[in-house]
Amino acid sequence: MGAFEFFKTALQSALLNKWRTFLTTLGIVIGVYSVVILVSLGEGAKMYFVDLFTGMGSNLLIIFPGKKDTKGGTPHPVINTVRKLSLSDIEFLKKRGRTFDSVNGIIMGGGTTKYMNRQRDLMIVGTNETFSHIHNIPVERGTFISSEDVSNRKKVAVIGHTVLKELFYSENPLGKQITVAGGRFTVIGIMQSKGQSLGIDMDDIVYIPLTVAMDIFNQEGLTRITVKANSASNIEASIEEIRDLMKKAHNGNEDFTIISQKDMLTTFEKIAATMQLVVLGIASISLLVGGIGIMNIMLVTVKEKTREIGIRIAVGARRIDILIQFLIESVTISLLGGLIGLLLGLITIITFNSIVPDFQVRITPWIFMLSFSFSVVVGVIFGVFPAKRAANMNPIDALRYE
Amino acid sequence: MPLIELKNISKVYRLGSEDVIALNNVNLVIERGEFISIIGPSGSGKSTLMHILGCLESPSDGEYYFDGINVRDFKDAELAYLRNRRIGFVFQNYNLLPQYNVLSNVALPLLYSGVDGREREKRAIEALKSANLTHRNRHRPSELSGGERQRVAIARAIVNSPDILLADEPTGNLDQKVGKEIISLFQNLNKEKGVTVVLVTHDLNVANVARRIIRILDGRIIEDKENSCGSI
Ligand SMILES: Nc1ncnc2c1ncn2[C@@H]1O[C@H](COP(=O)(O)OP(=O)(O)OP(=O)(O)O)[C@@H](O)[C@H]1O
Ligand SMILES: [Mg+2]
Repeated sequence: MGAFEFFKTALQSALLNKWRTFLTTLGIVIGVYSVVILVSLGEGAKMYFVDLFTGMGSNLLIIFPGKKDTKGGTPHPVINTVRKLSLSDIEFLKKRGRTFDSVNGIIMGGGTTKYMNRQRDLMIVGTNETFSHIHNIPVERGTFISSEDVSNRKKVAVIGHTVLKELFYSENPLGKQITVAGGRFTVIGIMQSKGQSLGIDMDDIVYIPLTVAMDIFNQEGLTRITVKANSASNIEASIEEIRDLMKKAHNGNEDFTIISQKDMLTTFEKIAATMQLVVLGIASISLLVGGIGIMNIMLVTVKEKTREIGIRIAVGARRIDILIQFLIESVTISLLGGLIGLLLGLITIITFNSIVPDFQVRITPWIFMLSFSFSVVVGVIFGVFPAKRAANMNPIDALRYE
Repeated sequence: MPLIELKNISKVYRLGSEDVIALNNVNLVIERGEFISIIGPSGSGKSTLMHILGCLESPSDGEYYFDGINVRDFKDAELAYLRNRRIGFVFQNYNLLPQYNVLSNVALPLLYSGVDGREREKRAIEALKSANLTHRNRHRPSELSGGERQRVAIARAIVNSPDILLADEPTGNLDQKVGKEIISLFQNLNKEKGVTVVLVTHDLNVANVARRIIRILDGRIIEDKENSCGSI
């Protein structure tokens, strides 16, 4: 019997009991559906984070105050017993650094910004002249904060797009006076729009000189220092150099943590991999349940077809022919379920992507391979037992079966 | 060399702790082209003998030579080959596949002979012609009369041009007139195609068409005689 004949027989049989076949496939439908959705979601999240990290700028090393032994994650907030990150740390790194070119310090806080009678609560970032270069956010109009602005504690501000829109409407903000956290500032630049990043609206920020921010927030310590290494291959050397320099600046104490983008990405990928494992576990359970459903229905089918089996053997079918016939029938049912699950999954993903354009769930080619192989494997594994039972029938007993 | 030779064939069924001896030391030689009737009371072992001849069951003891070859050591695939190419089986209750139409039912053995679709259809139509059943190709068995169903079953049995036809009470479910037609179909196949026929029956009138009649009782052949009134 040729492969085509086997499939024809299997399909005929599966379609003979349409409802039964459909209900049997439900387990596989749900299993494959969840595999498709969750794996695609994971892939989408991965892409999202990779985009995010590379969008932050490349070859970045971030220094946080306080020592954390494990890599990755967010470090403890500033603890009093550790030395804070200071302006002199920035100066020291700038002066002595060989393997990196830009050093950027940041203080973050919240406050109200006013222009005329309009006001807005938003994030205030105190930083120095390297911010725009390090984080890859160019100035759209005007200029960014300069090193002179920082050292002279000049009250100048650079605003994001949302701030521009909400406070100035169509007015030209350059040279205008705004009030930031109680102080009067002159707007000197507008940042290019960057959109959301890590849950923060990057356009709803006012940037002011680092020194001014330390005064306003009455803080001596920086939130973090970011360093841009000269080249990607030098990251490890840069980390070592920064550690040495920072220890020198901090009386030999390693009371800070250096995290690279790669660390963050690795941490994220670990989390993503664990998530996908959990997901695959859940999917396996539903596939198992689906497989048992198929085995059950195949046992019923074999019983119903007892006479047919006897007839086929009587006219010359080998036992292997009978075995293959029922194996292909169970694989066909399983594949049918897999196909429905895959289609439903794709429809869900496409619908989701069109509703939520900011986060794209990724359809990877191996989703198709995965659904296909899952279905075939389930069909074979759970079809073997019923098929063997069919193949081992005594033809005379089978022919007598009512 | 005879087509079939049975030597000391026995078949014992185990029912619980009891042994049922269905066949007891049967010796039988069947030559090519013969037309044989087997008669005997119910439970005497006629069907058991036919199943063993048809390689549907293996004997508990004894030797079975088909065309001079002992089939005892045959593997499943070789037995399947015999059933498929060299033996045609006709049952009392037709044993057609209800979900297939007439043509597909007749072509069923060819599926297992590796014959391609076009050729299968051609041969099935030929076999149906030999069985005197035309114009019913697309019908399901349930839409046919008993006589027509048996013709389909006979067409299926001869579609692969077997050496021997084994028919176990083929007229048992049919009325006398239709039964006669079916028997004359076997006679034609035997005469014109030279197919060997072994036919089990309860009906002495049916048995009488054969030149050789074998009588079975309690699993033994008690009589094996030439029948002078037999037309074949
Ligand atoms: N599978 C089986 N298990 C146990 N006993 C069996 C089996 N098949 C047949 N027998 C027994 O073997 C004996 C012969 O049975 P068989 O069917 O060959 O008789 P038969 O001559 O064909 O009868 P009938 O004319 O009623 O068809 C009977 O006693 C029957 O009960
Ligand atoms: Mg019988």
